[in-house]
Amino acid sequence: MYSGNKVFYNAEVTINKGDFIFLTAGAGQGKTTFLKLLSALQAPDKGDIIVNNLNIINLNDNQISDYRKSIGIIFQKNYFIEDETVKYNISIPLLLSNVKNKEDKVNIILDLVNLNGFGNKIISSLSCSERQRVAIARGIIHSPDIILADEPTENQDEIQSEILIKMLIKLSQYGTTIILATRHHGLAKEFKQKILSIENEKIISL
Amino acid sequence: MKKLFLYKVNLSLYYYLHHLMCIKSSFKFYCAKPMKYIPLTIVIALASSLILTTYISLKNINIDLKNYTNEKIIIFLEKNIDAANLNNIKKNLEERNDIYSVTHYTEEQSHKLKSENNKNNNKYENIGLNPLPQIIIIERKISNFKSTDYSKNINNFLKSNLYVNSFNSNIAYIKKITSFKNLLLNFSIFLLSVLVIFFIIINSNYIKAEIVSRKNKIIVYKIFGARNSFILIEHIYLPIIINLLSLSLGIVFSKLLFIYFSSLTNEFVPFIELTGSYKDISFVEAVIAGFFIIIASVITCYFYCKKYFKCIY
Repeated sequence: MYSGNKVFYNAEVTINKGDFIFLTAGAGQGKTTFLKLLSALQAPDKGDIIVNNLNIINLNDNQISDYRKSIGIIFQKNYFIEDETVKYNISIPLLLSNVKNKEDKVNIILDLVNLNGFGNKIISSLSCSERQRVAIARGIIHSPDIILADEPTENQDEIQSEILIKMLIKLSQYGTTIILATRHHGLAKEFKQKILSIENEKIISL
Repeated sequence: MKKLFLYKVNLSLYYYLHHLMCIKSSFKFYCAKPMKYIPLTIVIALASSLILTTYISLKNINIDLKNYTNEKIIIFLEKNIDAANLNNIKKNLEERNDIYSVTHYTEEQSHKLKSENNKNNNKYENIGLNPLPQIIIIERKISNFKSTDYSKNINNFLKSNLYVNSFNSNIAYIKKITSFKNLLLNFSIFLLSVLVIFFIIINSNYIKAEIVSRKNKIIVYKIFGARNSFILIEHIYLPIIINLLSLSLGIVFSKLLFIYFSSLTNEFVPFIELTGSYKDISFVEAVIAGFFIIIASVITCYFYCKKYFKCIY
């Protein structure tokens, strides 16, 4: 349920390690809710969510925090610390996990999302497309086991979108599970990956 | 196991480091926008100076009262009293249970005593000119001076004795200063209760405003797995710094008030009959006050941060 409306029910989905899944649905059909459930930002009304043999419904606050450190989240509406630099914002997952060599990792990731030279810029001075790429960089910098991406290519041009999706697919080949939500069925089909679709309040595998 | 232990040690070290970073950034935050916090600082400083001034007054009254643990009655005897009657009076007084000291002073001794008490050496060359009579000073325990029977018996005896010219007791002064102390104590309890509520309200509003202004940061931290305690630390040091600074200012304000009252000694002392030797707030008391304000800040901050975090996420 989301805001009193039933989003989906009987959603029995199994996702394996290293899978790259496109989650497709129209606007307001429950893509974001699905990702929020998986990231323990929202609890389901009924049922269990098992991730790595761990039912995340039963976790306490500290366990949820530890669980979230193992996932990378890229939302459609991304939150940033607006008065801080790109570098600082990207390094937040590393700061929270006390990872060493933050500077090097940030530079590598900036290069990967084509944001070279943007490191010391303040977030509020970036365009929508650049902000989205900062969010992607922040979502993958700590090498999470699972990446949940909600419309990550929304503000990107076609070439940039392709580069980013190819990069995520490559990450999945190294064992990272990726669920990418999009409302463009065509985009999902184009990359020939597994597709889950939310239709008529049910999740179906295409 | 060893890896897990090392990871935990590393993580706790990181948390301590985070504390230090937060202290540093809180100072920076304060220095970057001092005008934002100065009104809050001054209001808390004035409130704490009020409490401190009341405390200093109470402390001085208590010090003064320590000199008056016993009631002293000075009995001025008639000039024509003979040894037999003097002994009768002394015997009668000594037989009373509440009196534990009866001291007789001859004319010369009473004059000497007065000179010593007044700290001057204006001794009369001719003892015949000494205006002071023989005196008896008795000391008795102050058990329950609210009771009317307490003074009745001895007063009646002294009034009815023909060889007693007059007598005087310091009980009136002790009663006056004790009731003033009680009045001040009640006032300080009331003041403290009001100001604690005021402190909580003002701090909670400040914390709410800070959390709202850092809403995005909190959400980002939460999404990427920061524990509540980690986020809390970021918010806890600034109120502590503000409140400690306010307390320091409050101590300065109370010292200024103290100097002002001291300059009014001539008007102030006769009113409550204090000795006039005031004691200021000590270093240890200031440290204890600082400790209390840290505890109060942490508790308020912890409670309200948790409350407002839930509203945000």
